[in-house]
Amino acid sequence: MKFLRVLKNENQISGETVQQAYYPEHVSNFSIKTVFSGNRTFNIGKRQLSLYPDTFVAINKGTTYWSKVDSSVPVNTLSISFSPSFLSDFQRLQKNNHRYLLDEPFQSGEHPDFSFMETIYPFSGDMKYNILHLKEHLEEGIPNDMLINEYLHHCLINYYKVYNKEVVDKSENLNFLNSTTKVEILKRLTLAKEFIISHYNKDIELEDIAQHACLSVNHLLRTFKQAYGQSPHQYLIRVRVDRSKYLLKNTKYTINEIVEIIGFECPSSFIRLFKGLNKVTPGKYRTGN
Amino acid sequence: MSIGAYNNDEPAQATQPRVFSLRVSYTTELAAQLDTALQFVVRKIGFKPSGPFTYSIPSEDNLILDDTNGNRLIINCQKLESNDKIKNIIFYTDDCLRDYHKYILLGVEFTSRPEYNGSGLQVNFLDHAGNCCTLLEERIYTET
Repeated sequence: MKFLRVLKNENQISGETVQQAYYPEHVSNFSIKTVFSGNRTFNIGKRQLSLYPDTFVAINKGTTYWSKVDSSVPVNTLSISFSPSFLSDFQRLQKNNHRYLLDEPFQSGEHPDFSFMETIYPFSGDMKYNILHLKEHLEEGIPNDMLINEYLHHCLINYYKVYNKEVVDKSENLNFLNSTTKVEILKRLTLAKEFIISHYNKDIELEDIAQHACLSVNHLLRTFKQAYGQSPHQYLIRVRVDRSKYLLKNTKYTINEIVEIIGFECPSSFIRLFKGLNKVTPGKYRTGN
Repeated sequence: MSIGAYNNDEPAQATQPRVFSLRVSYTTELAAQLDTALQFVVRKIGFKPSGPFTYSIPSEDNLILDDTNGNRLIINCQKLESNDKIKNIIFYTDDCLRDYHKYILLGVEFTSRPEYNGSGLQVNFLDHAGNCCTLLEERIYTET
């Protein structure tokens, strides 16, 4: 199913299911993109981000990027583009009290630019619930702009919550006094995290991650642990196990096939790790017992 | 008026334990005028009678109403002498924003905007008698 919905306020939502597609280089408004099956690759400058059903990507207004889908399974994608005026109104609503908004109901001058960290974020909780509801309504073809805008407003509320948790809180964890240093370190750690998520099923070495993040191995190990509370290797294992949970619940692959897909070499070590992290074996997790 | 809200998919006697404990299956709504209370439930928040229906039902009778989300409301009327104060009534939904929007168009007066808490997304409104009602979409946050 393919749909494109352009609202009167220029917010735009599109979705489709494809196995092979190429989306040429272009520039858009601030947008949130996700997939519900398979994976889609985004290229932003020299960075390559692979999007899976448990992640979404946020792209800033004015960023040039291209993307492609090349998958053995159908990939269900959704893209939400927020108009600058909608984003600006949302910011004003969050920042100001009702009295101020009554006295100053309209934004004066140009819409300010908002710049978020462009990266992969976890797609779960309220963010996922709201986007799934929105997708369902759009596929049914609901005509009401007001309701769609309500969902988009809540998408932004939830994105801010995710952003605070994944960016602001993580930067606070870093033991640096200088805020500029904190921001720069977090940017590089974000590159490391993206690299792990995008290459989770490959045989990646710590040196590869460090080189991608422009940090020495020791610096990466120390700061990654500070920010995320775990080592890059533990993070990689977590990503692999989380991906296996998705595959167990949503596909018919055997456990041995899943072990291979997520880049583990030995099924028994995977089962042991899975049980250690989730207190249940993969087989029982799949059946829900 | 006593209201018991059950989901059609669940057995009435043996309900599955839930992660969140906010779910209640029985609550009391106080109404001075029974016909006005029923009009609110049927006309404003969209519950449909499952059988022959008038806005005045004799006490001791049960009345069954269904909403479009598959929820069932069993109304059991009892005449009370005391002037007890308002209770909070929870209506469960599978999509809070959809029903919030639907109720706004039906003229329901909301006292808050939809907001998140540990149980999910909820919004509060007042019924015809000023009773405080909550529209709650329970969400499970432990899944991958």
